[in-house]
Amino acid sequence: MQNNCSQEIYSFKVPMQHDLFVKLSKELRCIVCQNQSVFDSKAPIVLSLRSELYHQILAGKQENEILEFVVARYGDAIVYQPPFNKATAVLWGAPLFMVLAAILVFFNYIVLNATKQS
Amino acid sequence: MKKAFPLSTLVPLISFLALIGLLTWILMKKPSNASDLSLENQFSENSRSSTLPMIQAHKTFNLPTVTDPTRRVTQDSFKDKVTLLNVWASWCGPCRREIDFLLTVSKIPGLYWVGLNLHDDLMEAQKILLIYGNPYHETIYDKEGRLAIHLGVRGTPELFILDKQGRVQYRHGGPINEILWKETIWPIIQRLQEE
Repeated sequence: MQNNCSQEIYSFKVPMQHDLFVKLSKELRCIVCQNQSVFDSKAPIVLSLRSELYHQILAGKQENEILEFVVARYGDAIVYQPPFNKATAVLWGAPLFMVLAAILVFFNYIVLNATKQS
Repeated sequence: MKKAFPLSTLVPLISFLALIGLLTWILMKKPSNASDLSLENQFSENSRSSTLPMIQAHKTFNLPTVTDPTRRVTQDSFKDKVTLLNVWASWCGPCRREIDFLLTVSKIPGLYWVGLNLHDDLMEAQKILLIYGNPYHETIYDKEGRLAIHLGVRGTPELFILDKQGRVQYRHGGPINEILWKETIWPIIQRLQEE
């Protein structure tokens, strides 16, 4: 592979742009290895994505514009906090449902036992 | 008096059987496409229906070709025809293995085939086209991967079908084969050509 991470240098003249670059690349999931962020990943395609983020930030693009660009291409799964919509409803709802179910079962158990003993 | 059998003791058994049933159903269900199982497709609903990435969105795209680096290709190459754009690299084994099939289907008249050579060494890429054959009318040399990111490329090989306006209408990650071609790709091409 031709890409070499040691050649990857992103310099910003505006500190806010630097912060945005770090923030965005930590918010995005690596396309190849889903347990890494775009900030951490060494995959060549992510190197290209990082460089794209850099160019868009230098061009003065806003955070939401850049996120829109990436999500349109790679889907909601690329952000660590996917938006709530029809496709992600189960994803967001499942933990809440499980907790509620657990509370219900637990409560039921205790109340039943208490009434039995009294 | 005999103690009544509490119905609630059946809850774990019923939940367990329900889980087994669900898992069996998922296991038996014929996958329509292998890539359906990957994470990307679990949330792909919004990326499919609303705004698919457009090649026009990248106004400044101007890249050399592999076969002749002095020649440049721009977004204008994708105008007024249905384009099959295949992402590949010399370092990618599955890309090499699908070339035979690509050579067969690239003989079908009226199709415009574009290769997108990604993160590659120019000499190595040229070598592949010489040794294995060249199914493409044009092979774009995208060393930096900027065009790839604008298309939403995830890896190699990956096939994109672009409509006459240069918009991505279909993408498939992984090598293509005859079944996929007959069942999915060819019908899409025909639909787009009639538009």
